[in-house]
Amino acid sequence: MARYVAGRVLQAVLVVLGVTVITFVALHVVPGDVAQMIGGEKATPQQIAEIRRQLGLDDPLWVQYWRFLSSAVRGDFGISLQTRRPAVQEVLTAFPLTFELAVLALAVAGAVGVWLGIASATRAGGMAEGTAMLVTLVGTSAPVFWTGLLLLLLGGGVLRLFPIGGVLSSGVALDRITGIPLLDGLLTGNWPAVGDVLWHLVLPVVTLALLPTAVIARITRASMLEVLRNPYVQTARAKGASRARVIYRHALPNALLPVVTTIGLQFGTLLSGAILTETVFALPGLGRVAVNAILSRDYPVIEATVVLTAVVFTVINLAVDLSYGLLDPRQRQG
Amino acid sequence: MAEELFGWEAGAEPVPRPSPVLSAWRALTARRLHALGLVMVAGLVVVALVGPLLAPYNPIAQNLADQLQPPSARHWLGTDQFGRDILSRVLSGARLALLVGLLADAVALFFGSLLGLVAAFSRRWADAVVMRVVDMLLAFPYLLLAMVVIAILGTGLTPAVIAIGVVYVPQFARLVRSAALAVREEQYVEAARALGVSRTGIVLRHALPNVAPPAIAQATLLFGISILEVAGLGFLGLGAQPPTPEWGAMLADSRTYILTDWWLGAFPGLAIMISVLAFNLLGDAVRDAFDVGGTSRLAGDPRS
Repeated sequence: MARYVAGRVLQAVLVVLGVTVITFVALHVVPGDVAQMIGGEKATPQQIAEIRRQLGLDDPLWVQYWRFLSSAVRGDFGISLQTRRPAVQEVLTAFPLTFELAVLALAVAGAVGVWLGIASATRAGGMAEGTAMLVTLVGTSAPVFWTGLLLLLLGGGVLRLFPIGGVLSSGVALDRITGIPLLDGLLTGNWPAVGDVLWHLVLPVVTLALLPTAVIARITRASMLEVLRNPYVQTARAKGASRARVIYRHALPNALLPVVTTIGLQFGTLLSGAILTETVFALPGLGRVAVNAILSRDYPVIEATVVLTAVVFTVINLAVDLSYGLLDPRQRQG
Repeated sequence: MAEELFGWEAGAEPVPRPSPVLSAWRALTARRLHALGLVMVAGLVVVALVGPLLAPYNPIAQNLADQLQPPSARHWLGTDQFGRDILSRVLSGARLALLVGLLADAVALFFGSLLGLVAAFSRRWADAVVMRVVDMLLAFPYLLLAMVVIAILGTGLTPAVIAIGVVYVPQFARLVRSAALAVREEQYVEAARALGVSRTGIVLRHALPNVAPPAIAQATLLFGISILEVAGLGFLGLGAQPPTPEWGAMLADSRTYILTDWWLGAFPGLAIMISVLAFNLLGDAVRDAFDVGGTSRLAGDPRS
């Protein structure tokens, strides 16, 4: 087991290193003369040369990469060209909100998707199967930024049940500890704020959860049907185990293996969807930071966004793989 | 225990075996869905070809006297904040959407297949290098990778198309490599090699025809998704720029008006959904026709 974990961790470190290489090449080398961009169009050749010297752009590429990597490891991606604050700070301020949205959506999708999948596998032709089909159809074809707008129109506009955007109502105070609004509310025992945050999160979370719910429901259904065909399920039934016990105790743990993998793979899609969802609901998350950085060619912030997101993404994939090892002992030998 | 209690207990199969009539009906509806996909795609192609001719108004001409009109006999789908006819803009957007899907797909198919074939038919270390790079690219959430490409190329429809194409290169590379590796071990390929056929000859004459079916099936499945994702970049303001009648950019425009003038956003989004659905259904049909296996777009994540 230790060897398996060590191997997987090493692999993850290599992936992150590779991402820094790709980011470095893509954003440091390709875009052309950064010195010219910093100096502006009116800079004299002497000024440009001075900036180049200061930034170390005349050094060999591998020296530049090493400098990039060693500062990145210390969390230093340079100063945002736009706000003049550390680039990493820009990202870390925005990331918790995106993370909260993605995790909650995944939790909702996991619960609803697994339930829909089980129900449609064990009761063919029922309501659950119809619901699963509908969610699949809409979830996989409708753009998340369109369903978001429609939910906004329905829940915020027509029914007036939910706020039309933002994180907190004005007048509700919340101390920032982790930057994750829900967690901060819970940690400080600020219940009115927790309620308000949740109320603001309903529409974005439903929007974002739609696609992963569809995918998880389909995978769970297929996997459950497969597992229910096994002889040991027959044995459990022959022993007189109740329907619920057979489904949840005997069949489900094995049926969940592919589901866990799917949930892990969904995270990348989810992060992308979160960026689009944030834009619909005017949430100041990673999406806004990234889009602003690209529009203003703020390379330090783009680099920080890409590298930090890739690190989080890789860590999550690693966690999913390791949990897979816990769920299925056979994986540890492989 | 009673069979009524366990619906799936009857017979050897845990799921009740559907009656012949029921299973025949299911097979038919499955094919019907495929047929529906084909018809929808054909309809989209027709709209893309003649849509701009059908458009009652110029899709980018502003008419401030007519701004924000709800759907009516004069403007079937209403007008936007500049008084532009939304029906005309949605129709013109169809041609863009299909071109975008085609080009993004072509970029992914070409470069992915190239990488996959090179990896499969070159030395071990070259194969390892190519595939590790592919793994790294897969480690990026797709939108982030697209953003990196746009950060280099700048915003616009063409960079957005290239970006989404690049996002799918790794998938094609993996798919084509594994198909090509299988071909490489075939006896007739060994025979060809023994006869002195060059490596390029083997790739072109033997590998390519064999990797084409799965690659084409995958490309069909990704067609609709490319449309969706390029529209997403347009929605973020990183893709098509105003006044281009691109569906994603139209939805971005509609954000300000969604609570008061719903028609601005409703129809471009519907157009995207119909196109994506059409190509998803067609993609499933093509996969079944080529019998190349893999999961249905509707059954799982294409990125998995």
